Amino acid sequence: MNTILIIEDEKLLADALKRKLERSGFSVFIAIDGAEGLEFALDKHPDLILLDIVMPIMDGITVLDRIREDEWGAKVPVLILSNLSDAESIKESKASGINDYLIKTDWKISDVVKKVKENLKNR
Amino acid sequence: MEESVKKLKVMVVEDEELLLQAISKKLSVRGFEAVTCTSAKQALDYLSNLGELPDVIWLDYYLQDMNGLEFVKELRKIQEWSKIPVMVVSNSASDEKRNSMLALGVNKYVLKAQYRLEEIIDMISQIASGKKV
Repeated sequence: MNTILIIEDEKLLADALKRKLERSGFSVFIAIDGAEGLEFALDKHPDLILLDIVMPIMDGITVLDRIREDEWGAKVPVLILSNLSDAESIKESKASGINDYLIKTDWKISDVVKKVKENLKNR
Repeated sequence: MEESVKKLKVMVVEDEELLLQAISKKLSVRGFEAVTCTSAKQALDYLSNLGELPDVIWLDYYLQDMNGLEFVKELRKIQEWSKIPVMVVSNSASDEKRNSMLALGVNKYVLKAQYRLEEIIDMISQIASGKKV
């Protein structure tokens, strides 16, 4: 069973994504801030990470950079899930090696699940 | 990894991203659980998928994909959603808009320019706790 880590400070949204992903057969973990997410990722090595950008304690871009510095983390698929639509954030995260950048408002929760499946299939 | 304390849940629908971030941060500091949306479509999708509905909706009147009136009409179509209190935060002082929103059962119509963010959060807090404001 593939494991997914959701790093998202909006717990209501994280719970909704978790429920949808679990119904599709994934094992899902939630971290509600960047630091907790980074620690979990480096310790447990999930198969895919859904990462928010704007978060307390440690922002998503920093989390992504730190994950990519790790030998395992250099290859794990990371999908950014953000309200930020400005080009600068997108450019910054692409430079750190993201697999997809999903603007929250453009994606239904069920579409995010499809995107997760696609990215796991392409590995 | 999950918190056990029950917090009041506020859905914020506001298409200005920086303002949305500021509201979310303030709400979090004040002990609320916020879920943020930059469009009406996103908010309706979230409502369809959230395990628990928000205690109150903070609604910007002018959104890119729908205005406040249309959004509240969508809410009223679903019985469970129609019970969620709504506070409209607007730049428009038009009596027509205010009255049409209040006629739809909106709990409060607030002019952005007249209040500080902290004061608007006080109002949303009272509405979420079921107090009359």
